[in-house]
Parts: sequence; structure tokens; C-alpha cells
Amino acid sequence: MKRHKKIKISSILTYVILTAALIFTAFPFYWMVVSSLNKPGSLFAFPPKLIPDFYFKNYITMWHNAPGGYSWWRFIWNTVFIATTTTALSVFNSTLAGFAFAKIKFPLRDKIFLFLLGLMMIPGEMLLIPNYVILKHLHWLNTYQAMIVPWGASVFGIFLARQSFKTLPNELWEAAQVDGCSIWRYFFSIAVPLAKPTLLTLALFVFLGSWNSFLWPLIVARSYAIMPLEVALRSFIGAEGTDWGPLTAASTMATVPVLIVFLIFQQQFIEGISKGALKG
Amino acid sequence: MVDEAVIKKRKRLKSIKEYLTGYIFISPATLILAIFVIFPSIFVFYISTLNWNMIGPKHFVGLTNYINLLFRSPYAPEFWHSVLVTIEYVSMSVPLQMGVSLGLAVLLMKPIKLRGFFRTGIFIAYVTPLVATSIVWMWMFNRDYGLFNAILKMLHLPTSSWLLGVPSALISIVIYTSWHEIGFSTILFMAGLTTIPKELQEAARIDGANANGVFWNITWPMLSPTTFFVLIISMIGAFKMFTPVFILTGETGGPYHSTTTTGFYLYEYAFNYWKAGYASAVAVLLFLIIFALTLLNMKFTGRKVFYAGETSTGGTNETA
Repeated sequence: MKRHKKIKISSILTYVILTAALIFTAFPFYWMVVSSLNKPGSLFAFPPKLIPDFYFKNYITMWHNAPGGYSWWRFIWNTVFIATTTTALSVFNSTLAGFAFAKIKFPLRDKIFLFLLGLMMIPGEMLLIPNYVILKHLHWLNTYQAMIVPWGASVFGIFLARQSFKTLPNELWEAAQVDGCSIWRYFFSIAVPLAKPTLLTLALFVFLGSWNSFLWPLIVARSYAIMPLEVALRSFIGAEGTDWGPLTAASTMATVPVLIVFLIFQQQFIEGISKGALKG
Repeated sequence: MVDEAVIKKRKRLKSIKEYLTGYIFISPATLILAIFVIFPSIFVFYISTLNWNMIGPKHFVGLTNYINLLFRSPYAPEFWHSVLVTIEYVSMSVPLQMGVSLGLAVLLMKPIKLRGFFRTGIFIAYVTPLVATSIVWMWMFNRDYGLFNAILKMLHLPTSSWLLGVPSALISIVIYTSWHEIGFSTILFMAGLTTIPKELQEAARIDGANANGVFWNITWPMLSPTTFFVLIISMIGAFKMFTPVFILTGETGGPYHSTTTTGFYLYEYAFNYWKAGYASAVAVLLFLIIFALTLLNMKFTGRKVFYAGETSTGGTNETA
């Protein structure tokens, strides 16, 4: 009887703590939406108003005051374009390399792979200045490709792809060869489809990384025409100052799509992180 | 006899073809990594020996940048100040984040209802963009009308200047980054906990150990590789942290530079003052610090892959 009670209390405590944590992580999102839908008067009310006025003018003001005289569509498009092409390039390159490191025999293969793995120790911050100089010499500053090509291959991606291709039995390739299948066809029509779950996880991480990136685009994208949303938002913060209605409206606009994508693919995200952490 | 020679020749041709295919497959990725990772990580050492604004002529100055950085006024005090700020940040955020996320991970491993819902809710902040979410935090931290001061006022507690004060600005950044990162370390701890065999814990239970005893005598020691891994990647993330400082406390690095971390200091010298040589010396030192931490991690946990899914407040693209 006593033991039963003890279990009950501890499980209630579990729910209480988890709910508190959930409120801590989720409340800022709620507050962001509420503030974006409040009239100026309600924003500054004391005590704070937890139920919004459903005042949509903040969104209209925000929408008409996009930085640099552009439309917000421009910044959204820039972000979508950069993130999509980066993802395609990076996943393609990493998959090709990962397959070669797992399944094709060539001299120095494992040495090259180990060397590339070692590159993960290099922090991106150390590369900021030299890469800026390199892009300057390529005349790539202020271009889309400056935000795409340097991220077009990832060691982590190669590693993940290799892990996944290693699980394919060698007999599969031998059988395909007997049937006269070329290595390219084997790669595209047999190996890649079998590695799909891993490649999807990789794509999600590259996409999210590119979508949320800030420091690199801040440095290389100085003109509004090619600026991604995150960098444009920073200009918007500077211009709007303390107009919290439109500011939180912009914050909502930039956050909600990411939240939706995450909710659709959450399983892959969480598995991807666990895999990356455990398989090392 | 002839047949054998032909077969041998064919075999050789075939393997040469395979070699070539292998090199073709790895060449796009290797080329990009060579241009944007391998070459620049050597080039940065060369730049660090220059006095150069990235446009004008280059002046070779040897190790002057390093000597300035480590010993000479006004550079050395600034640099060491940024290291100190980073250490302050680490000593607040790392124990907080690790304690909370370990606790949450243990609770989330229990067979509770709505487990997936709680896990998603706790993790969700990690995927959201830093600048966009910083806006609402700036608003909550607002000194005059922000939510936090309103709550403090309602509770008749003294209010704070949050992002505008010393040391409250750095504490505010700790709160923000903890909010953003806690889900990530929780998932890492959960992954670590799943590797601990259930039988061990059950056996200890049968032998009469209570929940506390099981945790401290079995779970905690067996989890230590994960704990160490999370500790190291949090520290690396702290040294690289840039965006939250830049957005939340402004382009001057906070009131009286109280939030100027080493990562921010590097940016400031490189892209505000355009001192490429000096900033590269800072970058090299930052690299040495991170390299040392990584080696420690390898030594203790035997991992070959570290901050691949690194904490995202670090700045640039995560998956590089």
C-alpha cells in the first residue's frame, strides 16, 4: 500500500517537472504569437495580457516595411533557394563519396577517408577569414554561390552515407555485375534507394543548417537582393527598433515554417542526432 | 597459356577502371573540402603573420600578432577579457544545461504517457532560427515593458535591466542559449541512456537498491562517456558562440563588452575593424583551444566523430 503511494507521488512529480520544462520551451513561441496579434496598447499593458486582441495590423505593417525596399518574398525566396541547392549539392556529393569509401576499392582509400574525418576537428570560425579572402579572389562575394558552394560537401554527410552503404551485402553488387549492371546504375538504382532513410536524415540536417545559418551570410551577403531571411531580419530589427508588434510578427513569420517542417520530420531529426552521437 | 595472360590483363584493366571510378566518385566532395576547408586552414596561419586589411598591401610581421594578442596592451587585455567572458559563460551555462537536460532525459526514459509529446515539446526550440527567436526573447527581456520584469513586479520582487546591465546581460544570454540548446543535450543523454543495459538496473533493484542508489551507482558511471561528450561539445559551442551575442546585446558586444566572447571578439576584429592578420591569430588560438578540448574528448571517450551535430549557437552551418 505504502509502496503504491510512493510510486504515484513520483510519477506525479515526473509529470509536473516535464510540464514545467515544456512550458519553459514552448511559452516563448506562444508569447511571440500573442504579442504579434496585440494592439500597441495591450503590448505595454500591466499586468501582461495573455490572450491576444487578434489585431492583424502588425502583420500588414511588417509586410510593408521589409528591409532594403524589397518584398519579404524576396528574402524568403533567397533562403529557400540557398537551402534547397545547398542540400541537393551536399547530399549528392556526400552520397557519391560515401559510396566510394564504403564499396569501391582504390589505392589510399581508407587513408583519404581518415584524413577527411580529421577535418571535423577544424572549427568553422577558423575558416571565416581565409574563406572570405578566397571568395574575394573568385569574385564570389555578394553572390548566391558564396552561400552554397562552400557548404556543398560535408564530412559528417560522407561519414553517414558510408555507414549506411557499408551495411549493403557485397553479394548484391556481385550479382548485379553478373547481370551486366554498371557501377553507376548499381549506385543510382539499387544502392541509393536502399540508403534512403539515412540520406533523408542527412538532407534534413543540411537543409536546417543552411536555413538557420547567420554568420556566414552576414559576412558575404552585403546586398539585400541576395540576402537570406535571417540576415534580413537582423536589418529589420535595426530599423524597427522598439515596434514590438511588427517585430514579433516577423519573428512568427520566420519561425512557424521551421516548426511545421520539424513536426513533419521530427522522427528523422531525433534519430539523426542520436545516431551522430552514438556511432562515433 | 595465352588465355591466362589475357585474363590477367583484363583483370588489371578492370581494377584500374575501378580505381578510376573510385576517384571520380570522391572527387566533387574532396574538391570542395580542399578549397573551402583544407586550403583555408593552412592559409589562416599565413594570414596570421600579416598586417593586412584584406584590401591593401600585405605587410609581413612575423609573430607580432601573436605577441600583441598574448602580451601587449591594448590587445592582450581585450583578448584575455574575451576568454574570461567565455569562461564565465561556460561556468554558468554548462552546469545548468547539463543538469537540466540529464534530469529531463532520465524522466523521459520512464514509461510515461505522452512521452513523445513531451520529448518533441522540449526539443523543438533547438531547430528554430536564432535571429527570429531572439526577437521574442529581446521583447521578454525588455527593461520597461518586458514579460520578465512584469512577472517580477507582480511578485513584488526587484526587477532587472536584463540585456542592458552588467552582469545581467551575460546571464540573459545564458538563459536564451540554454532555452535553445537544452533539447539537443536532452536527446544526446537519452541516446546515452538507451545504451545502458536494463538488466543491470533491474538486478540492482532486486538486490534492494533504491532509485537514487541505482542512478548514482549504475546509471551515472555508465553514462560518463555521454556526459563527457556533452560537456565538451557545450564548451566548444561556448567558445564559438556568436549569433546570440550579436543579436541580443548588439554589435558592440554588450554593455562594457560584458558579453564579448572569444567567438564574437574574432568577428569584431575581422569584419568590423578589418584586421585580418590579428583576427586570424585569434582564430588560430581559438582553434588550439578547441583542438585541445577535442583531444581530451577522444582520449576519454574514444570517439572519432565529435561535434558533427554541434550546438547551433556556434554560428556557421552546422553540418560542415
